[in-house]
Amino acid sequence: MPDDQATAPIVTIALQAFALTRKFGDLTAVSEVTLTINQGEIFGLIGANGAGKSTLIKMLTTLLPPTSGSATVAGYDIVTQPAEVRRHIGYVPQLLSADGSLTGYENMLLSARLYGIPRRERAERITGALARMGLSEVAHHLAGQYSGGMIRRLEIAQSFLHRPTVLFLDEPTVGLDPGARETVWEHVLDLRDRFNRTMIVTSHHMDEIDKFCDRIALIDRGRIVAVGTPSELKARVGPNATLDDVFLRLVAAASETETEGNYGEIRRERRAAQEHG
Amino acid sequence: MAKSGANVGLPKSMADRSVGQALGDYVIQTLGVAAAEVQKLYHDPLELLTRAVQPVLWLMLFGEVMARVRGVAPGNIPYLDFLSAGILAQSALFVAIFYGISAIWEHDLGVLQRYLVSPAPRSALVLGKALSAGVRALSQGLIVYALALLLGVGIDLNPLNILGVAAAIMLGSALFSTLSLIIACIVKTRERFMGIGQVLTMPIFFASNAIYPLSLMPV
Repeated sequence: MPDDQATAPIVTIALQAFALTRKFGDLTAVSEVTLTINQGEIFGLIGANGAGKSTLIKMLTTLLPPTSGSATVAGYDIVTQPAEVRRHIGYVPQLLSADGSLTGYENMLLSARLYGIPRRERAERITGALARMGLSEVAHHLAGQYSGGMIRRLEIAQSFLHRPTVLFLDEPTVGLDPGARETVWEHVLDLRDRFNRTMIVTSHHMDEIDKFCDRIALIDRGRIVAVGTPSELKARVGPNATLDDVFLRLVAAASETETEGNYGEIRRERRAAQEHG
Repeated sequence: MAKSGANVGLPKSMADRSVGQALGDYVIQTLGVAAAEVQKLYHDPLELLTRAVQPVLWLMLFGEVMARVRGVAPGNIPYLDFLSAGILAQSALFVAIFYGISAIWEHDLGVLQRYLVSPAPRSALVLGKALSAGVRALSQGLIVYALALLLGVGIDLNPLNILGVAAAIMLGSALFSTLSLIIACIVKTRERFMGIGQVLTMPIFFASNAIYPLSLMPV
């Protein structure tokens, strides 16, 4: 358990997956993932392209039904209670999800309406959320004119407007410069500290995962090969190991047999990077 | 902060949802999707202008030409009056039938995922999109009305009749846009969609009485 959790009075379970599996034809994208994530944790999912991170997140956010296995998110079953799950989670997809032809405020308004936030609370909540993300001044500019970091912050604000129990962030810093990456993380940490919510984050930047995540899971070819705090995982590899070393050591054998990192996925990833950059 | 895994994150106002609330949410979700469309039109009025070009061409150029073709006029009213109604329907139809393209675009971008992870029922999202297409078609109808007035077409300005026209536009474009969304879900790429959209619009347009009376069609 990370230090800042020690003072929290009660630790409840935000997410629990049991033998969660997803197959696409012959390919098993996610294989028997069993995982428990506590409330208030910042949980990092790392793994090579096509390791199954996005498929796992898609299942947990009810966008994709599992082939077998089960999971509860915020106490609700992803298969039998998808509507309740969606009501209690937020999701910041890897791709651009804010609408560039609407202003920041209008994007937030759309989210507020979709999540059933009462009319009398909307304006106040939106203004407050935009202010927390440092977007007050550009609230009425078209999101299409925002910088990559600003768009990400808007998307996080949109996904957090209804105060979800669990917020999923799929590569929130892809294509951002170091300054913007830092800012995005600061806001994620701030939301966690302020509201004690769970954040599940994927990233290819091992340095930021190391720095900001309480615990991480390393996924390789659909399986979880290691779970623990960054320091635990590093200690496993060697005294002066970095997370990069952990990554390389534990998934070294996988890179040759990559099946999912195909052209389509690379194209999507590059485009996401370009849009946010 | 931490009470139980299930209730954390649920604002008080959203707890204990009754049927009435659920229904209210449904309406707000549907209208919210459509409202976003109105806001987009407001931000990009140029789009309306570019889409006015086709009706202008039809009414001011091809209409004049067609009017000279013997037998094309329906007899009791001037040809341009006859054509205006047809072009009104045609503009609405085209907007609605190609509406699926924007859905494919939003899907490719990722914008659609924002809708899909929200608690809004799928039907509210589709209904909202159908209404959005209706909003676009209405804006198109406004342009045709303005043009027709400009050209001295004898328009019935009875507000009830205009409301009836608006309702017909909304209903027609809601129907065709949902068909369009279904096609979009099946074909998945914009390129394929364009082909199918054109195959659909051409016969629907030319086999209707939009530009000539049906009596001219070979039986």
